Amino acid sequence: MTNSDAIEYPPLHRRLYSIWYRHMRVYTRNLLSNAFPPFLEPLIFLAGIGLGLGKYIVEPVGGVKYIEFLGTGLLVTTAMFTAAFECSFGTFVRMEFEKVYDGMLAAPMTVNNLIVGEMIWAGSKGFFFSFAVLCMLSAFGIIALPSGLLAPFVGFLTGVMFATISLLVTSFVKTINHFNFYFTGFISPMFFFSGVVFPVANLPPFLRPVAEAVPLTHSVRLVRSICTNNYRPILLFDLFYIAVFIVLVGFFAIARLRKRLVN
Amino acid sequence: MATAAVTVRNISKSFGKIQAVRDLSFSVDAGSCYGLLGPNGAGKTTAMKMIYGKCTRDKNCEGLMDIFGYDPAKNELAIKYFSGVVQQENNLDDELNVIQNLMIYSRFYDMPAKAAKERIEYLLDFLDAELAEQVGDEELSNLIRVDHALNAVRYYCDDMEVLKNLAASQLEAGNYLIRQTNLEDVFLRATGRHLNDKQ
Repeated sequence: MTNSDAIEYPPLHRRLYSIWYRHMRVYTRNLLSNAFPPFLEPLIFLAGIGLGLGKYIVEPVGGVKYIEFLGTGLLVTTAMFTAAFECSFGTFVRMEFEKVYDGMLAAPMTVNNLIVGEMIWAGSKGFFFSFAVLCMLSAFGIIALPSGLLAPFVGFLTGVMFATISLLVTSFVKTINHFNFYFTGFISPMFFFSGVVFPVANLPPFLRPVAEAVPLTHSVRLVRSICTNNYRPILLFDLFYIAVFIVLVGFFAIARLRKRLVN
Repeated sequence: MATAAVTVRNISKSFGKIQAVRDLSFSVDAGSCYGLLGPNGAGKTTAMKMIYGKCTRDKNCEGLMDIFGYDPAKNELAIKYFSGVVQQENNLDDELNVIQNLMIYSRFYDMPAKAAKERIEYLLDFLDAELAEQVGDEELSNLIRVDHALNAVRYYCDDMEVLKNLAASQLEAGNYLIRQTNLEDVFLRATGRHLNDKQ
């Protein structure tokens, strides 16, 4: 009996959707505690910077008011943080403690589908978190609206990008405490030295190439240019960087996690 | 109906230097229930995992695996689509209730939402209604078997003409497990022995 000619199982997009749906349902289970903080955080930032620090920075930074400079940066750092947490601690807990993947992998999906589903979900969270910041910043007139509407899409790309690198890190991690190195050694420095809080041009010359090499710098430049209607050819390079990063790092993350999930 | 549903011939599996499964062969007739027994570490779980692609068999062995005409190395998805796997550990989401968990699994199998809801309702008739409404309850781990039954019923409805007998036996097994959520009790009734007796 050979059925090999008539293989029947859900098509790829339905499989990926079902994985996305699973994450969405678990996330929205505690909608209030999960979806409220992304809106609150930019308000705290506005109060802290607007009422406090902002007074001392009167000169324009990177050609715009400082609060606009920092605010546009926050559009993507929020996507970075949510995707990094989701695909490090989140993925590790699902894989090692809750054993959720063992159950899912008995359903019609491959490990590749599962991991790509994680990435798309992290991207969706990035989109949502960017959108939340956009809502708050545009409500206070810090970001002009029609141009700012593209920002969540950069949030999506940022989310996917940090999902790939976080999943790659997760594939190496033996105990959950190892993630501290990733966050203290990689994510936090990136927040400060990728042109979010001050322009990359202010870095010492030998550090600038490092800033150009890390992913966040490109997201920040892209989103800030979009929000300030300052389109330049270098943005094409940023998009190219993001695309190559996602494909390359994503490929290695899948290959390594596959070894871990399928013996 | 004595066609072989599962044929496994000369399969081995090594993890590094440890050989977990050596030259395993067995076959399961369609429409039958089959139990794989053995002491701890005999490779029962590994053998099961190789059937649905969670483990890959050693490439250098000249063995053969035929699961309803599919080879797990090539058609992992097709095998997963028509089989139901009850895991040893609970791996449903504790934060979600039974209905939500089953809805998620019905999506994995690409069931239309309406049909899924009807079948979940039908399946939960076997269970105490209150349990279904509870969230994150300890007893959820027992209810993972509902997933198996859901699969069995899906199978029963989709392929009635072809595999009626097999599905019926699966369904029966599914119902039985749901009614007797205490596995030890099931084992006792089936074998006349306690689970802890090593004999």
